[in-house]
Amino acid sequence: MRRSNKTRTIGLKAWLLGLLFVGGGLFALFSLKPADLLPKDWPLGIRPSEVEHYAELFDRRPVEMGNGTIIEYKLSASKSMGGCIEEHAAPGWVKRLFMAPGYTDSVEVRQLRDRAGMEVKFPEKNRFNGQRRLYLLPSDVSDIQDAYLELLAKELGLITPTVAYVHVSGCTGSGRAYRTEERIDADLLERRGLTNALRVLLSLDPTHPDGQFAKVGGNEEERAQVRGIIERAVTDARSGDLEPLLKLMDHEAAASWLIMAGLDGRELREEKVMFAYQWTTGKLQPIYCSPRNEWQYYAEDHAPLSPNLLTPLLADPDFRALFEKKRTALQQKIPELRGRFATLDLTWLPVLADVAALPFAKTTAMQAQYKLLDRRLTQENAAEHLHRKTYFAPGHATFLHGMSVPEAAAPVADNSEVLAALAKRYKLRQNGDTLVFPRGKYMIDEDLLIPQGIAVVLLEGVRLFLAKDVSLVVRGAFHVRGTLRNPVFVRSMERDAFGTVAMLGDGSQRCRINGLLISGGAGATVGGVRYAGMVSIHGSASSTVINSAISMEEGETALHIDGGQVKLEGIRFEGGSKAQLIIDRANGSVSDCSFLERNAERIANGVSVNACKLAFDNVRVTGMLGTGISVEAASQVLVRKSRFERNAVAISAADLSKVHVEGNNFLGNTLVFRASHDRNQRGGILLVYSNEFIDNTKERDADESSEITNVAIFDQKVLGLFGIAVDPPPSVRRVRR
Amino acid sequence: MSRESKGIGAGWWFLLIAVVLSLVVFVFLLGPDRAIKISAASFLSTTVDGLSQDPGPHRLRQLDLRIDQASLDQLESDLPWSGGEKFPAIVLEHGVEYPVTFRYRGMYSASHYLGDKRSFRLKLKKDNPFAPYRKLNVINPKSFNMVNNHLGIWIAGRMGVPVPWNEMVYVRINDSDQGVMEMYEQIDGDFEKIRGIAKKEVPVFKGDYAPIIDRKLPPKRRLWESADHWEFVGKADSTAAQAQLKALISVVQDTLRTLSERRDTLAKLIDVDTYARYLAAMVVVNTKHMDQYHNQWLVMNERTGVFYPIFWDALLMFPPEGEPLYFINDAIAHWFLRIPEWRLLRDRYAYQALQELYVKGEFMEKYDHTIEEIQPSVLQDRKKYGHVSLTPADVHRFSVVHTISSFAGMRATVNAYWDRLNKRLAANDVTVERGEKLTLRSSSEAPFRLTWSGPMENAPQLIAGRDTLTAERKDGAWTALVPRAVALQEGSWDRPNANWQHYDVQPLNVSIVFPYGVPLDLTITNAITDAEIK
Repeated sequence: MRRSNKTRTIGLKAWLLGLLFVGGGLFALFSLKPADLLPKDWPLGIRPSEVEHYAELFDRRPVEMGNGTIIEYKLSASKSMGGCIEEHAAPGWVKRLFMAPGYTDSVEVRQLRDRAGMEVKFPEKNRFNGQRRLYLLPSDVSDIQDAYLELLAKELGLITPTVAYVHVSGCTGSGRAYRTEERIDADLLERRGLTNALRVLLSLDPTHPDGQFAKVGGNEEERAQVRGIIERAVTDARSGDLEPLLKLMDHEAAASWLIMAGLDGRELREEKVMFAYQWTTGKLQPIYCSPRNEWQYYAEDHAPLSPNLLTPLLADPDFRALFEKKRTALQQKIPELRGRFATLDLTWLPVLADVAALPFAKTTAMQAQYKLLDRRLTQENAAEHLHRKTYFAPGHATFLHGMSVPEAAAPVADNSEVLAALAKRYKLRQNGDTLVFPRGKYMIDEDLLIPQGIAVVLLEGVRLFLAKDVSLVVRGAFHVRGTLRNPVFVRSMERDAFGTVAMLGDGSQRCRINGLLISGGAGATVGGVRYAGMVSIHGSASSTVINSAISMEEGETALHIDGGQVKLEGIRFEGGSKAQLIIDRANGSVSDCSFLERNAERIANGVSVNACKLAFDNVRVTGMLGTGISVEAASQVLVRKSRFERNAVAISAADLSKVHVEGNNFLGNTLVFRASHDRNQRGGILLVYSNEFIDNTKERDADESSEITNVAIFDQKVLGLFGIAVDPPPSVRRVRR
Repeated sequence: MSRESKGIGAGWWFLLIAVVLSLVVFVFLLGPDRAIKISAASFLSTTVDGLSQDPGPHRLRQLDLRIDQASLDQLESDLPWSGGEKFPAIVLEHGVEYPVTFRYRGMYSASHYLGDKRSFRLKLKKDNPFAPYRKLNVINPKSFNMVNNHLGIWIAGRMGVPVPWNEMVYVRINDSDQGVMEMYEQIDGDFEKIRGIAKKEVPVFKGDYAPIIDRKLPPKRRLWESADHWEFVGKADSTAAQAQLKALISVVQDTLRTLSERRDTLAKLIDVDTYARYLAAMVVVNTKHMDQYHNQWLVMNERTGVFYPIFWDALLMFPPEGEPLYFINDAIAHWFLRIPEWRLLRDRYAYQALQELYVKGEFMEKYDHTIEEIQPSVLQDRKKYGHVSLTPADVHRFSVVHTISSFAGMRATVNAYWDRLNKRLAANDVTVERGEKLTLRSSSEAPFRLTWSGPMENAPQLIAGRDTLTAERKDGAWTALVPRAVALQEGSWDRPNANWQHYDVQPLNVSIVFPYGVPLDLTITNAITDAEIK
């Protein structure tokens, strides 16, 4: 059969029909396809970028957009390197001018080693949104998943760096989408309320010799101590004894972290894990950070890991139950999470994609949501996937030789010997596991560190004199049993300040102080733990301080309480360069106390409250050049029936804190209420009920992210919120007929 | 439609004749074995390797190197002698250009410089994508399966022996694919600092062939003959370490010390536990590649003040002749393996490793995982060069068929060897006679442990033949080790520097006298496996 040599012309109609069929087909395919169709799963080697370009043309579905404006950062050309940020290919720090809304300064920029992106270092004195360092990571639409992961991590109560999307431009002027991510450093921990915590970095990769020992911050002594504790826990866990590991880890945070690791599709061996070690509780808490890359072979990968602090916990039935319980709870929130993801889409998709590409971006976002919520969160064998075999990195057994690792189990008999020695030296009374200081004078010229689990009681009439920088640290229950007539005195031996009188508990002991008159301390660091207060109470289940006088000249604070239930009553405070009283992460009440500043040059607060739920009742704050009561870190505080006199600021609220103010007298203060944002740009709320204001210079000052609201009627339920009994309504006599 | 049949053209006939003729010439020149191996490798690499389509993305890390082509040509034109010359280059990672110093590897292994995939070394600055490592060898893998050394190192590291960081990578130089190579940490004084256990450099000695001077290969030297045969690397203070090395060598060279005296002195100079692991790893990896002349390292543990070795250039299944259980690779092994309790420690580590790696199948899991990871890169690698025959100069391109068959061969070899070794260590071929004395006769190789209960008193002394065994108190019972005597093979020169020797375990025939007669509750166990002998 032969073909005709005659050429056929294709008419206009045929052209139009052809275009209509092809164009219509593509339009139908892209605009009508289900939104959860995999953007990556196209056959015949079609690349997602090709699909994206077609989608820009043919995907015409309407997409809702948020109202927010895109934040632009600009990085100038470098004087030293001469290059623009677009051509920045050399390693090392380069100085550039960084411009962002409300911020312009010279910064240092370097390329990251382990992934594409930059690290920006801001000047110490001019931080950017409170941050010293920031990562800028080039992003596309698929990176919306990191915003979802941040939301999920926060939902699970994990500490995680804040993620946002911006446009970054250099010399060319055209901005490119970047993800900004906080660097996990001491600043971040402090911003999240973890003061006095050490950072610990751990690798789960048994093939890399360099990551086999935890990298611990702090000084050499602290490093050796924490590394030894970790080594003990992971070694014992590998040989089947989970007890030390269970004791070391914050279970809630560990379970949440493992849930996230199952969701984010990380290659466990590739991503190092950051922890915060809290000296006060002796617990390690993992910090969540989204993975650098999603592991392509995630689903089928069961490669062994190095012995670590997280995955072996899944061998413990109780921990596994907690893991499943938290996962189930998260699964039940899926409908709500979808709504919150949609809000994130509205905010961030316009940053990550051009307007024309938004329908495709929405499809990609939907796919990411589907993957996270419908596939991975509901995956049944999540725990099995994470709970893998472990083996130590090369040479581990050899490198342990000569390393300081704690004994497998704490020696039981040791304490009794130490106790007897202490009792003999200071002429104390020993009642079982309790050391009693009877009435008398005690000259202590070196740190007195009471072993863990030993209770200490100071009886009335005790007079402790501590030498310069010397501290008394009790690592068990602590009782001071002074009375108004026969108080317990603690003073410095000479003119120089002593360190601290501190209690460091594990969250189960109690501290009760009554009739203590203490002065002349400055705070200290003992055994790696920073005790900021002249009297410091860390990790106590409940702290009660009654009828005492605590005054200091040097040091940060007179009394520092970290954690637990708090009851302070009838205390006279004086001095402290930061605040006279600092309370972190505690619930309870402060009543009938007075805070007086005599030093006319010291700019300090009366009380600093961080991450607490506290009621102040009948307190008197006088003459503070800082703030009378400063409330931060999402605290909830009630201040009632109190008197604030001659303070620079009477009450301030910041960082998502809420303060109820009712029935107080404010006299001669420069400013009564301040609600402002902190360096994380998060404001505070003051709800002002009925109060008395006399001769104050200014009543209120609130910035755009905060509010000070007058409320006419004080709802008695507020008292209930703070655990204060509601006054019963006056009884009405019924007359019997 | 009909197709006209055509004959084979004259050109094709000419080509065929040329091929046959060249084969004949090669067979004549090289011998049939070499000629066939070289031509088969060439044929298969040309025909089979090109069939692979879309092998998928690399799962290995990729090393992208840029270097001035003229410098590269200059170095290549003078290999292996240009091995010491360095040129600046750039490693490209995530779009960042990291400056490095590049040099080719020269002598001694031909696979480093023959062929078109040449080994090289990189020296990097502190800020580099492989930090904390700063000196890296990038080696043309020595076997067809390419992972032989990598897996040998993995096994030793798994057994607690210090090893260099070793990772398979896919290399590109100036945008041209070099293929799969083995990245290998070059050890120096930073060895412990990199691993996070020392803050500064530690003393490290390298035991290898002498450096090449004036393009001449220096004569071989035995490492344990003199401290001068070891090269100090790094910037740590070497004074104490040099003195300790001299002391160690004098103990090794002194043939007149008693066994107990030698044991006690060596224990002060070397990390006995790590040496036991090191020698155990050598048995499990089945390699003889660390010998009297090269591939040895000594690191001074400043926390304990003793030397420990590094397992280097492992070569999985490169066995000494006859697979002896107590192979003497060097002078220190000559003495170490004579000490019964140290030999037992080594055997226990070897057996423990076999239980995990072989019996529980952890090695084969790793093996399969490694194959999965390397597969896409091997399929894309068109520069697979290696020794295709036993002649060192025969470094030629080989095919993926070689790789596949080498993987299968290695799997079979490892399984067969470990099966033999496991049975050998666990063998309890023993007869026991109890009477006034305990008589043990055994033709297997394991020592035995006797355990019995008894009151706390002075350690009982057992008379075993002409020896006295002192019992130890352990877990509330008395226990004593019945060691096995070992002897060099007949005709061997009983000196630490003698090459390629081994000890044979002598048959056991011993009567043991207990102070108060043979205890009724006496249990006898294989001291390596702890299995009770019924």
